[in-house]
Amino acid sequence: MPHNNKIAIKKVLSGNFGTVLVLIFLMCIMTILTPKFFTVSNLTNILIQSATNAIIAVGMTFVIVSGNTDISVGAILAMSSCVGAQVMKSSGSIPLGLFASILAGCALGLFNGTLIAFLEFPPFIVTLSTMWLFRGLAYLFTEGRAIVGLPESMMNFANGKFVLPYIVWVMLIIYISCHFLLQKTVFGRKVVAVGDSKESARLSGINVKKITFIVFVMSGFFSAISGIVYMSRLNSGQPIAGQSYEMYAIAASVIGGASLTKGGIGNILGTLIGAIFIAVLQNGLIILNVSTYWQQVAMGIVVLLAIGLDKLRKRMS
Amino acid sequence: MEESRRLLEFRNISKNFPGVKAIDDVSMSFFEGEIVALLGENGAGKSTLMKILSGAYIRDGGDIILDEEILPHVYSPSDARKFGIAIIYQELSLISELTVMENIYLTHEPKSFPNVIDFKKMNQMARNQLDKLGANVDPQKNVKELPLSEKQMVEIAKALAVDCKVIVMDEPTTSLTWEDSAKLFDIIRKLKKQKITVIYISHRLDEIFQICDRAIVMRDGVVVGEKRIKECSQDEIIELMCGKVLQADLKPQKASMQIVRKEKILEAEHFSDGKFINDINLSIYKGEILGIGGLIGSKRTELFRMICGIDPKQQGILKIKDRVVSIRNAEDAIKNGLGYLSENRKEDGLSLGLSVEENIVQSNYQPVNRYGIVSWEKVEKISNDFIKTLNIKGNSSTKVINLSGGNQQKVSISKWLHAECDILIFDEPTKGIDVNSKAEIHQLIRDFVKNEGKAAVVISSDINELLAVSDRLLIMSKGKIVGEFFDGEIEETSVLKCVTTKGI
Ligand SMILES: Nc1ncnc2c1ncn2[C@@H]1O[C@H](COP(=O)(O)OP(=O)(O)OP(=O)(O)O)[C@@H](O)[C@H]1O
Ligand SMILES: [Mg+2]
Repeated sequence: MPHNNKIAIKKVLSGNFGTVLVLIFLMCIMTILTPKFFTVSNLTNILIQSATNAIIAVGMTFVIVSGNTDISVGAILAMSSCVGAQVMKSSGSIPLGLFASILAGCALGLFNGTLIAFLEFPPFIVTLSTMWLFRGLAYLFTEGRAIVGLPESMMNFANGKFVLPYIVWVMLIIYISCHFLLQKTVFGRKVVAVGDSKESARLSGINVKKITFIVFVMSGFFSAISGIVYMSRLNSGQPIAGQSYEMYAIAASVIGGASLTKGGIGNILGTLIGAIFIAVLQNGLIILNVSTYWQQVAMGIVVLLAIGLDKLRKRMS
Repeated sequence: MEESRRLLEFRNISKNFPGVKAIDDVSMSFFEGEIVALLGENGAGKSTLMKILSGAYIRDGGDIILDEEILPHVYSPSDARKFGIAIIYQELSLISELTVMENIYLTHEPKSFPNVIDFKKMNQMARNQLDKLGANVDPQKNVKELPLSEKQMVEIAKALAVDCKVIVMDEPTTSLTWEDSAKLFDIIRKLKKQKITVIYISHRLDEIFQICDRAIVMRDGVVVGEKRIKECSQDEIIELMCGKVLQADLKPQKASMQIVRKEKILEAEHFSDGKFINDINLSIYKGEILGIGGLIGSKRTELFRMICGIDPKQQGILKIKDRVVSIRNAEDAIKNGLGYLSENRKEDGLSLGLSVEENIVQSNYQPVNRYGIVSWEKVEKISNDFIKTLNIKGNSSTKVINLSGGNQQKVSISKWLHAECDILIFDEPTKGIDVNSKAEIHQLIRDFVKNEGKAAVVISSDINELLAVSDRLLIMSKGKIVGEFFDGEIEETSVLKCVTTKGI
């Protein structure tokens, strides 16, 4: 077993080696360009900033590895955090609010999953539609206003730390357990099998519909968790929250090795590196005082470069 | 043959894949109008060499000389076609969303205006091309709607639709019945008369002896010998291929005793799909291997996919061990001890992008499942056992897509032997598998049914295989069962007679 573990770890490391190099390279550049970058407080900041995206991206990676896409995650984040905030505000109970939030996220994921897995609607179109649908519902639900006045302790959670900020702990725990889930469990291997070849998986007796369904519910679940983190940081429920988060989540998965055109590939640790990569880039550009327009341009170029370099490395070996 | 012109020559070709020397300093020549068999065990390097010729792979070193001209080091498959090289790939290369005729004339469509495709003409041309093969396929149908055997015919028609000097056929008959193979052989003989060189790859040695002039044998990426077909025997060729004399006991074995057909393990009653299959009844007994034969369009694959819940049925009652079971998908089927090995490993038989071990455990996670967690140690052990017994060239973490065709097929078989089913339906089990391993796989199927309470079905287009393994043989035609043979009655002439007279 230890021998085997070593091989597995090696595999994951070598698979992500390229992305890690690119990430280190990016961090070196930032460090050279500004002394404000490589400080403990800024690095912690980056981790906190990456958390919302990173958590959504976990669900997204499962979806992409299963051969699907989910672009409604940002809208699910908004809707579920608004529901959570409202419940929290009117009941005064934090656990109840968190529960409502997670329930809402899972319910929306379940809606996507039902249409895609059981009615066999194409995933892209379904989640494109529900992206508008859920976002619209979030606006209707809040009448377009932020829900403020949440209990104190939400704020305390966002700012609290035990060695690392609580938010970072949440992120790390999710990553470690989901890496394990995808790599080591029967469920995870079935997700990979469905992503590689739906037909082969079906003929091997894997319940493809069930797996597809679960993966979308998971995506809703993680969007809700991310919504909770978001809500705690802003201490409010925002209907505009999570705008274009789907794109960041997809980018994180793809930088981490997943493929939008071919299921069955991708891994959770890679996604974490992808999410941190994006956060480093955003953070660095802001510290460097780059204008928002140029930030977008730089974002596009660097993500292309990251993926290109990784492709090149794979071809060379 | 001596006077004819040398058309194609390989000089010191080599090709490496990560960790594998697939082709190692290979040289050979082909003459005009010659039919050459390229032989060798699974993974010997035949397909790789042919893909180098067709421009699909770039060789690491060596020269290819066609018609006295050295071909460039790098060229694309479409360049190759311009040089006059046509190829029928082992794994079909059709585009399933396009129609039959669009596939046949892909990239050289007949045009009316400069850039407008003349579909009417294309239909006509495709029809002619298919008629030559005696294939009754509608050119306007989408390829994805065709059964595998018809896809194979379209693939052949596609290769023949271009003018060429050399045509490579990489296992063209694996999913064809003997009748369609015979039509293909007629065409090959015609090509020979037109001075076209045919390079023919097959693991069915009787075919080689029917049509080829010369055989070149490869092993582990090198050429190990060459024989004139007229001057040698099958045994000599087998010896060259595997480097040892084929043991007599490797020849397929029949059940040592007559099967006692007492207990039915499976009964299918009134199965219909509402289209081609109408009210079929059949039973399988414990301990037997039931062979299923028939021509193209016999709908045997369709029947068994329906019984296993893979494709929807219109009607039909299934009893397993005297109990009526409701099977709506493959998952239900496996739970009830019924497994189906697909005839098409590329489309639905294997997860090509995953490793050998992941493919093998896919049919049954139970033995490696510890409270939901996969024990990779066990996965590796199980797959290494199969790799050893089936002599798969590769290791447990090799991606299946990087294996040779025959080795992929062996993975597919391992997957179903691992499924712990009571009834296994093998649809073309030895498709693409070399002579030696074929006998071993027949033996594995025999061993499987020897266990208490097991039975197997073997669907095959290879009559020799059916004769070798079946304890009972059903002949199907156009969605009906038209003949049944028991133990001793199963011999070639009567079976063939049944197929040809009732089959049409
Ligand atoms: N794309 C690839 N990547 C890595 N290895 C490969 C690849 N293609 C083939 N090989 C390896 O090269 C060797 C030769 O394979 P090839 O497909 O040429 O065999 P073959 O003689 O056609 O066998 P078969 O009779 O099974 O079709 C095998 O060991 C195979 O594993
Ligand atoms: Mg081959």
